[in-house]
Amino acid sequence: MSEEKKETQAAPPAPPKIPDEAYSELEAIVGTDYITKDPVICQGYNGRGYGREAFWYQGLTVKPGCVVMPRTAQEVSKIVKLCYRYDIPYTSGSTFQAVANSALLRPDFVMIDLSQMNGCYIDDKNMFAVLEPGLTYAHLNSELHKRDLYFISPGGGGQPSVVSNQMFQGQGIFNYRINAHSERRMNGVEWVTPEGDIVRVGTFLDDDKHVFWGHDPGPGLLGHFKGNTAWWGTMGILTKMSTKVYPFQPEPMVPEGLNQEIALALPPRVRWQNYTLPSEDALTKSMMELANEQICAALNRVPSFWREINRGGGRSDFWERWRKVTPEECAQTHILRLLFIGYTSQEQLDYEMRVAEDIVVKKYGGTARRTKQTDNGSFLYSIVTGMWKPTGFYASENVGYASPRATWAMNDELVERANRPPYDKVFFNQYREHQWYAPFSLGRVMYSESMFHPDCEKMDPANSKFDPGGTLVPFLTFLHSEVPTTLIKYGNVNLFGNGHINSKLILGPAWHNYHIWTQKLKAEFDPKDVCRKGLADHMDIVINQVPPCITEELKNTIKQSVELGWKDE
Amino acid sequence: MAIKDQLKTIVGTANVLDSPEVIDSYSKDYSLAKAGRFTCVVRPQDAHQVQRIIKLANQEKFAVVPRSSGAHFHGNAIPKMGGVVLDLSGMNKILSIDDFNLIARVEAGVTWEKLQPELLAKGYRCVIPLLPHGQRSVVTDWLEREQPVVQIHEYSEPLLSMQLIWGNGQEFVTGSASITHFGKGTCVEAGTSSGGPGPVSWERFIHGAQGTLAAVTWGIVQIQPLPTINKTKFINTNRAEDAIDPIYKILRRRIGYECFLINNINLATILTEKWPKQFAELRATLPAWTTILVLGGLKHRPDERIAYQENALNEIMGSYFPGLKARDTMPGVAALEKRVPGMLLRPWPKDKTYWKQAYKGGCADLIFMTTLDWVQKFIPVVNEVAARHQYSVNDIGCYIQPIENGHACQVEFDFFYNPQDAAEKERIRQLHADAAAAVFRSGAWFSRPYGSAVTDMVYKKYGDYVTTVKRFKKYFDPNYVMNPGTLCF
Amino acid sequence: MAQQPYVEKNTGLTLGLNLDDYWYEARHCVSCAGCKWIEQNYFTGLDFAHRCPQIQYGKFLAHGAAGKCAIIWDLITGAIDWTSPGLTKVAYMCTLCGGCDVGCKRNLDLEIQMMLESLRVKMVEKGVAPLPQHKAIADNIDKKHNIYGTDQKKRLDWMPKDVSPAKNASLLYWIGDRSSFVNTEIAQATVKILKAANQPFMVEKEEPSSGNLLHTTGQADKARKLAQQNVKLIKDRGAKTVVCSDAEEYRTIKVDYPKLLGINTADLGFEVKHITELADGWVKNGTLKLGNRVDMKVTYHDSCGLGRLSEPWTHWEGSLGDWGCWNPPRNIRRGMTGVYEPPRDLLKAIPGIQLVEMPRRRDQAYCCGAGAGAREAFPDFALFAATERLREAATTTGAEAIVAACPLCKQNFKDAAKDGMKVYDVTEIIAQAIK
Repeated sequence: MSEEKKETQAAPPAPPKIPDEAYSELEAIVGTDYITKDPVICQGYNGRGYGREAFWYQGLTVKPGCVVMPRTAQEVSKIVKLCYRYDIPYTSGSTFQAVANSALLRPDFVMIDLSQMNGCYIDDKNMFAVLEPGLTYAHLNSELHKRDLYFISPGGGGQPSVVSNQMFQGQGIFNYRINAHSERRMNGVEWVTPEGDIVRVGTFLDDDKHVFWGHDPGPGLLGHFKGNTAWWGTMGILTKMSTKVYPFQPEPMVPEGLNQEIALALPPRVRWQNYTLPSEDALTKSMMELANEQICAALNRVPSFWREINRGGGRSDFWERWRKVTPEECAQTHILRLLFIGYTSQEQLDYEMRVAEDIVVKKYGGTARRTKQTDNGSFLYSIVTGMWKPTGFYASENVGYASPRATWAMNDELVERANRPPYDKVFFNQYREHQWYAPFSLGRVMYSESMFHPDCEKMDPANSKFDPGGTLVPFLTFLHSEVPTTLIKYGNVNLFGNGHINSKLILGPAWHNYHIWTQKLKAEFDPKDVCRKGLADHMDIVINQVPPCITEELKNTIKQSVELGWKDE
Repeated sequence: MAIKDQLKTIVGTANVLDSPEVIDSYSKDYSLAKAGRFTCVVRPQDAHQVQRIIKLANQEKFAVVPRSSGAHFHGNAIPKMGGVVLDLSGMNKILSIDDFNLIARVEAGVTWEKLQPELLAKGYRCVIPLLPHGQRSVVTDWLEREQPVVQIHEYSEPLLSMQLIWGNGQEFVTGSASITHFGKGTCVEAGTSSGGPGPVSWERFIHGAQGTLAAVTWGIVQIQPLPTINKTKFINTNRAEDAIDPIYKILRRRIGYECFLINNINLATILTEKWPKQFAELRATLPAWTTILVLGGLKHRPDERIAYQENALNEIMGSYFPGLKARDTMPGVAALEKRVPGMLLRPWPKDKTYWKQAYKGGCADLIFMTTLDWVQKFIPVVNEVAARHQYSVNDIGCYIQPIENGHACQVEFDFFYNPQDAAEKERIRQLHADAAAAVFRSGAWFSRPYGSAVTDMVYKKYGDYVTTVKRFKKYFDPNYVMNPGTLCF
Repeated sequence: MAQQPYVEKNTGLTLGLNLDDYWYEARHCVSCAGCKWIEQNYFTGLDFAHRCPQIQYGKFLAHGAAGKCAIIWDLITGAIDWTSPGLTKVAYMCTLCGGCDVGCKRNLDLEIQMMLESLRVKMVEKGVAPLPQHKAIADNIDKKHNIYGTDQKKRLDWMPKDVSPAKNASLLYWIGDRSSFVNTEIAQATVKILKAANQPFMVEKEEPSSGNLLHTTGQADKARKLAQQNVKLIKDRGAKTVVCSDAEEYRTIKVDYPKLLGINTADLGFEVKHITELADGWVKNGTLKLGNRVDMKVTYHDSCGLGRLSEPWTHWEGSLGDWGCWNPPRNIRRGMTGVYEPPRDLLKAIPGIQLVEMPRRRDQAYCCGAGAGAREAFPDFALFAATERLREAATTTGAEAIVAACPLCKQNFKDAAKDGMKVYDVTEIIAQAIK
């Protein structure tokens, strides 16, 4: 292009700003100490966060135009109403653990930081907790343990917001006994709709404290508040949630140690036991039979590289150990980890251990391994942060709530696909080991995450190693095509991705066109699309900008599924 | 073409019924609800027919009132604004029993008396409400939010995925059975997860909807391995409130499968074989309140499983409630401990008058939710209302069902009456309405609001809920064809 | 002029005080909140869960290390101007306590502490720092060789009459500005301990400022000059061991001097010890007797300089390779070998002392709020942090007194405590126990 032509080209339009008048009104709502538009402070909300490499191309990480910190639901309501009136898009976050979940599309967004709303009320006797969004699982669980109660602690660790994460999934290994589905644990929510109305659901309708049950006086509405922090934050803001909590055991778990050696010393009524099984078949059969016997508090399969991560040290230490692991070793590694909790008594725990011995050892040929009686990653903390240790980035390419055989079939096929070209050059080599999985709901649901670790520098456009063709596109193809193809083939539901990591327009038809319903409900509750503006449809727009990550195989798989499915007569 | 004729082209002439006998039979049920008027009963045989019927309803704007049970107690399946009764009881196939995933897929018309014996024969059970009428639909009972007698939270809400036809005529499946080629081709998924598809947990909308959003055609329910041995325990108290703290402590320690609290009236109606004399003896001799707790052992080391529970139970009773005993037998009723586990696995036997009707023929039940520590608030409230209506407090049945290890409970007050006596029926109607109002004022939570007296009261208070749920209703049932006049619709 | 595209620096890294070395840190925060909360296994409930006083006080994410990573990314890529007003508070309302650093290193290898120290150095280079309060300290040091601008000749005025430092000894007591001029009771207690243990020691009559506040406020050139001078001074004095009673002085000489000079701690030419390390050894081998009863219920506060910031420094040079691995591999300082037990063992050895622990202890300790120039530039924040720590002590332990190992901690706690909880330095308690 000639210099003359460059000069005459129009400059790109300046990004929209938050009007000064609107900012003043926001200031009046929360007070000057609780609002800022300083670009440095705002930039603090534009972190890389979990999974940035998977989402950067969506333009999901942009500095907000201002940050406002309400302390009450009424303030949240006023803020939202103001944004609605001015048509200013807004988003919200509470603990900001996964920044992408509160990410933005444009620099005129208002970021509603809910971290100062961190109240908690626990009804010990009736076993429920009423929480505000700024409270983390670790806060809740550490309070509950004092009352001989406990709650799930998600795989993501003790630091996500309980309210936000329960809307997302609310999953952790304790879902084995504590229902796979968080909407069935909720007793009620206080919801600021995308238009700013405060609506109470469940027994919040009656009382702010006696919020003990989640069945509404008619059709239940709590299922609406699910999915990637409630529709990836596009369906308003929850300012309170009441959740059931669960009976635990009375003996204290005392923390000890420094840094990487920190762990809870387990009392006799809490016990881990690891077993090595002779085959994966023996492991899965053990798992199902244990579940049928309704024993244990949690059980999961432990992949080899998790053990190496958990052995401490840094990234170099991990690689030093991992490079010595052979494919044969991985192929022969079938570790089942069982958690026992003496909910009823020590006698009950001892009984369960005997039954486990009967099943895992005597029946399926397992060997009990020496197991440390400490816990560093289940009750309060989670070492999942260690998942970043191998490569600096990982992606749960799939998070599934499916029946056991569907999960195992999907896992095995995803491992197979990940080892085919070009993916075999993209992901760190896990030697084709089975992915981790853990039964929920006493074995009816087999939760799993397929974790694949690419070199994030090669996926990052800000890095000189950025390699879109060799790394980013295969990664995205795996995420947007290989994984959904496999899910659809075996019939798995993917609660993690649908619509927000993957394209709902492409995948929706394979699941009864649910996306048409969600589009309608979004339009109903947010007709101006102000709540996280544009995000509901964003993935579908962007995915077309990154060809060729949608494969013909995916399209054909969807077509075949639809052809076999329901036809109106 | 007339509606009936159009319906006949969908389901066949034999499945469109409008004789006076049929109309009379479907216009009322065992509740106090007034008789409804409607055009006909239509009996589809599969989900496609259900869809075509609902689409027709949208086109022609007639109401559709789905029902799938053979016995109804709360009036919600009586048409209130005309239309047709969509009787799904003919869709009664047990589609599969999957003992790997511990689920059964059943059509909406499958009843307890059909499903449970088949499961028991295979060594399984579906958790079940307290002695339901055998002709109650399994799927409907769970959609209605009946509470299982097995109160452990792992067994709660057994209904997982389901197929339904929305009020707008669209077919849909909830949960992990929602993959379009479910059960076909390469699909391995069994439908064991209730969430989704997509970000929303659609099944939550359908529970408690009383057929106002969709007609469910099949559902997947959890089944459980049958205990191989059982031991029943009885705790007798003079007052309900004295039973509450023991229940809290016992269930918190995860002891027992079945657990419920019942008063002498209800227990007597259940146990009586020879009416009326035995009933009179039992109600006089049975303890005022009985907590029934059933311990169970499964396949591995069942005796040890019973033993640790029993030891813990004894420790609780000894340490905290020295004046009470968890007995192995029920005073005054020989060998009840042997009968109870089997009774609680099954619906009421079909060759016997249903227990709620055995005393006087009719029973108006007042059902609501609360927490165990609030139970004692409601008893004097109900007693006072009963007295005002000259209804003997000694005739009020009461059953308290703890839920999910004591998180909450369902309270049921039963007012027995002679349904043939119009004046008495009217008095009970008034008593029921006043009692509902009184407990509501005291904090009762109506997650199952039946009858206009209750719904009017409830929705007047929960205006926000009404406004919000209607915003969903207009998508699921834009023409308001599904069971209009029910709930707040 | 068009913004030049940012090119990350992968070779010639030293992970010293050059902010450009930390692009990986800025870009790879995973938002796990390990920098905000103490390790969750140490949670005891809703309260006392913060590890970072700055984000607790400042509230916005920018005040936590995760937010700072995002900000630093924008700074080094030129997307934010260095003169932005919000930057000063974000960068300097922080005690550089190392809490975020060890929190991050629970699972990752990101050098957050060094990134934050380097940020201040860069801000000074860019001319947007030091802050006036910190410049005043530098001026005092330039003119009077101490942070207060006081007459150096008064430096040893606190020395008890019955204590005679040796002219030459292998042990040099490095007193520090604070204990020399303000918290002199600490210096007095220390020399009492040394005397009771029969340990000959030297002092430097006009001991220069260590440069602790120069280094921690980003004035690296001045700090480096002082480091060079002071290392030479110590060596010239013939000291084999430098003993400090001030945790900040201790970590400055042991860790920051090698860092500034590009060498290892082991290459200093002398050992650096805190008085508690030595006294603990003396008590255990019988050299020091703690026979006096001190009836008091106390809780011990782990001063950052003695705890997680005190691990020896190892100089490194290398590159960043695939998967973000350093070549050659590095020793990661995670705060696991800080001086945590000697002060505790000493307290437990004193008859009558009942030691109770706060939830946030050892490497999880909550900073007093005073260090790295925060007290001077943001006194409200410093007071907030100290008040919060005292609240923790009072609420969770029921202790009568909080005991620290640093005059800065002591002074900040005293200012916050007013007439409430008693505040001691650990040397004072030990000294009380000496017959």
